[in-house]
Amino acid sequence: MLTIQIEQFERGITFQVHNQTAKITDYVKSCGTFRASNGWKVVIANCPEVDIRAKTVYLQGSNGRRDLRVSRNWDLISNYNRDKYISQVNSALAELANAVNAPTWQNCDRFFNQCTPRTYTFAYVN
Amino acid sequence: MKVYHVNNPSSPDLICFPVPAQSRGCSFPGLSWGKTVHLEYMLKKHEKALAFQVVRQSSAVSSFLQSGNRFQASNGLIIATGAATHPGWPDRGGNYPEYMESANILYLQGGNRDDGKIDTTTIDNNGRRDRKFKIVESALKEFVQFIKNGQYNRYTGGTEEKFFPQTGVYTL
Repeated sequence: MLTIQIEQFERGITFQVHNQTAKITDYVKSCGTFRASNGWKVVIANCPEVDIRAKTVYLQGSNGRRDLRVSRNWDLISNYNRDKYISQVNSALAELANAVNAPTWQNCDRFFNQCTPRTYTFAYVN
Repeated sequence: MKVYHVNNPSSPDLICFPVPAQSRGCSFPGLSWGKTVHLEYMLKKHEKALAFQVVRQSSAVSSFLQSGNRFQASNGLIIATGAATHPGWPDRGGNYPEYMESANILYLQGGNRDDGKIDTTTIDNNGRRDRKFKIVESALKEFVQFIKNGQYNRYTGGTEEKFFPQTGVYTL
């Protein structure tokens, strides 16, 4: 289960990971970097963040207070761009959830040998 | 610096005008007859957090705050700004829209490059977060009303456009 919240602001977004199971963490860690088909990457980090310039979503990795950190991006060019980024982030995370369900190795930077089909759901809170 | 309280029951008969230097009416560069006062903001709930952004702020609001005034809502929240355009402001922070929960102050736009910033406040539980949400929301509504109340009467005593509050009791 990966539950995230993305909120629209004026030419800005906030992003927060509410819930992230160990299996999601393990999968992304095993990959090193999960690469979605839209060019976005997903990485485990100390605290969640959406880095628009680097097209990277950082998920929870600290098991601490920083896991609930709200990531902010503002002064985006337009609300059109904002909505485009939101869509891209959602799409990349949905793809990650699907990959965890049925791992697609080409998305991973590093291969790993264990491949056990697992069931994950991807929840989007708005 | 003045702090304005709205409907303070301890001294309901006192009336002051937003800028006490004027004997009648006030000069706010951004406020003119019939002009609409805008204070558009976004306040959203996150898990154990609030996110706040000022989207649009009329110059009347900025003028009021940058004249060294603060507004205290009936729930106690103080609305202020610490703009770069107001040097010497004694408080820490306030150079961009920010909710300082511990100090019970909400800073609005101050007219600098960080005016569009999204501020986030971590709150230890969602019950408290919801209460704080209502406090901010209600204080902003009172504040807009406060500014608007001064909008519809204009004192035409000079070349500057001036106004004074039409209704409401503001205690100093």
